[in-house]
Amino acid sequence: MIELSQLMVGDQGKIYQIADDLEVKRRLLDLGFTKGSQVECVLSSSFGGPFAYKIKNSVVAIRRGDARKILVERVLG
Amino acid sequence: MKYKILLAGNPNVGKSTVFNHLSGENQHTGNWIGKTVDTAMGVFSYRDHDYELYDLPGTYSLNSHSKEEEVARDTVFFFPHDLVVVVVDAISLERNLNLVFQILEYTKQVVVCINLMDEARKKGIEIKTKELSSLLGVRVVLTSARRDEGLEELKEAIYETLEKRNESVYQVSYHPLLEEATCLLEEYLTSLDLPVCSRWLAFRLLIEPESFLVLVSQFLHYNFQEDKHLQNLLFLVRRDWQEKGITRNQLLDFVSEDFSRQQKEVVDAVVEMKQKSSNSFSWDRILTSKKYGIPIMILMLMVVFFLTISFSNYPSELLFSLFARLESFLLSLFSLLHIPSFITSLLVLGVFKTLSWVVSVMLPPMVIFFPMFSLLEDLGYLPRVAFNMDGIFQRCGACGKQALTMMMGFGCNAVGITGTRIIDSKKERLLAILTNSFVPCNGRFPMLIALISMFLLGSSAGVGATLLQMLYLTGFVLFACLMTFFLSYVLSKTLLKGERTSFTLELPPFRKPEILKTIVRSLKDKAFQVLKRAVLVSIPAGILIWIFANVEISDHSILSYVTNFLDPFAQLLGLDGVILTAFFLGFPANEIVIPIMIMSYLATGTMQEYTSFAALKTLFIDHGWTTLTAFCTILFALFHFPCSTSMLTIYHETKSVKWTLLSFVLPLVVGSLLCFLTASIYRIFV
Repeated sequence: MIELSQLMVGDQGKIYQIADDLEVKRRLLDLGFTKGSQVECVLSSSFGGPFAYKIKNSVVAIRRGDARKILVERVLG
Repeated sequence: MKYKILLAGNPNVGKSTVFNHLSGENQHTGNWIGKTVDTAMGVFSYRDHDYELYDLPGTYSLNSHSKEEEVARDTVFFFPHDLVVVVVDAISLERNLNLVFQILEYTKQVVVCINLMDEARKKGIEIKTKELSSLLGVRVVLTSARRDEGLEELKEAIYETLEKRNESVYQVSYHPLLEEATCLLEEYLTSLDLPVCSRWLAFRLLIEPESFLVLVSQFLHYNFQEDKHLQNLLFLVRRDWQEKGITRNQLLDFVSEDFSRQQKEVVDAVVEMKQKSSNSFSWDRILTSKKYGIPIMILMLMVVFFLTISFSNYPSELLFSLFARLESFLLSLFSLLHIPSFITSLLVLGVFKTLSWVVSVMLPPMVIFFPMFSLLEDLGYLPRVAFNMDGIFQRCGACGKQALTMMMGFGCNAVGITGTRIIDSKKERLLAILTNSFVPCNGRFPMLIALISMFLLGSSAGVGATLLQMLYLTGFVLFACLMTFFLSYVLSKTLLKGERTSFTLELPPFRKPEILKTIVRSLKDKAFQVLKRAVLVSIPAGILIWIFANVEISDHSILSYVTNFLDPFAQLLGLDGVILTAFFLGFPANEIVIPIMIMSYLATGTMQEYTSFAALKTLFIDHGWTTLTAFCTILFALFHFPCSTSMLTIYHETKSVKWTLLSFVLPLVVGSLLCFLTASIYRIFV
């Protein structure tokens, strides 16, 4: 079990859990970061900026701090 | 009777395209739904019925996070309507179903429009419409709005749904605990005979915070807080949950799990993947790369500026000469009618002249800049900018989407300030609002360019000079951006510290924009806006400027008293009294600052055009200008105070006198300090 932020570009994972941070959590759930979903890290940005993940057929960027709140199981792609 | 139809959907699903294709030219933007956010409303007819179509802001769910999403939620829940069309993305149907389910909880009168079918088919995705339709209990239509496919079917589906109401629609079933509580409340609420779906109300009362209760009470004219029986039921349910050790958080988890499981079930039943999507080459590897992302963005901005500036000159001159002819016609007309000369002077040389000036200078760059911006938006490039820039903004306590509002601010600060609604967090949004006027708008560019050309370029000419001019301009713009970062940082550490921030951003696939349509729409939109604004600011400004320049007290105009009074202070800033007065009188529109300067120097009583930069430079130098004056004027042009329209917009957006005043004082202090420092250092060393 690792944090989503630890996935490198090209890595895939399966979402296990999102930390209890109500505001962020509701938002992430709406964007499709739900338990059991497949997720792939597709882009990372400069100056410590956000990562972009492919989830449920769309690409969504979230900040590293928020990505740390999601636990994933690494999946070999 | 006109049917009221809401158009809802996630962002980036082509909702506006559907809207535009349905309502054609019959659309207007306005404050229809009684919220502070303007929404577009379009009208169309189908089979002898008239329909009003309301375009809601894009939203992922009805659990609001940002201002725009709140508007979408409140409109679906509290604005009377006959039907909701939910536009969903065929490619990510699973996520999009979240919104569909939430709306189905509220109303049965729904049509699901699955858009972007052309893109989906390319990826080998097929959707079984009939199955989906019978699962959801509503009509489902496949469209590719950009190609005008499926829209007649959509109209037919709307028509049919309104004729024969939907009987029973798909309802998400909740976790047993929540289901039990919902049923309990539902039973009681049904007995109250309120004009909304009882199950929806029961569920919302259970999961929403207190603030929502107040809204619902107002909407239904029923005070839920004082309904003893209801409060008792709620109390019992919550006590039961507490005894079982279930927190609100866990409850929300249950709900989201229920939703996401059922979204997946539906998608598994109706979506067919004919082929595995191949990983094609992605432009993102270049446009968002750590190395090239930001340089490409700066280059692209420079191109946009260059095109805006070079293409506005000619139409500007054309408008000037047109207005000049109209002016002389008006003058002769007024004299023919024997209208007293001071009235003629006030109306024609004051009001009309200001109006024509503002229109001539403001209109061309606006109608060139904003269509280009819309094209970049339609292409899908703008979210990439926010993605690239968020790292930097985050370090300043701000949000990457602020980069977009700054880009809009280059066109017009008022537009940029309205644009801050895309920023979810309140703190980051305020930062973006307060610092927006730090980026120079189209109204200030001509002034900057004139000053750069006259005083900083020297005597070079030709391509080299143009290039040098662009470089200077870019330099100043970058400096303005740096100041934005700096101020955002300072504000987020002082006045706006502590509040939490969040950032989520979808990067939609790049799409070929509908070039012509986008340009025409953007043109029409902006032209109208600019004209309206020009009229609004010109009348008071024209009258004020005329009075300042023409009313004399013991042989001197009010203007000269004011400039003389301000002069000592202005000299400290490296400016002079005339320049400072011109900025104050140019409060309604920065476009008229230089004309007012010329008017004051020449003491003509009416605003003057300059024939050439050389003539203008001579005039300025004759009145004591040096390179320092020009440099300080440029700094002050970059940082003084937002124009009146921007100030009104700031008040409109923040509803706070405090923040509006701060947005006035902040750039003024920064600009004055910078000018003062520059002038002092220059005077010490040179």
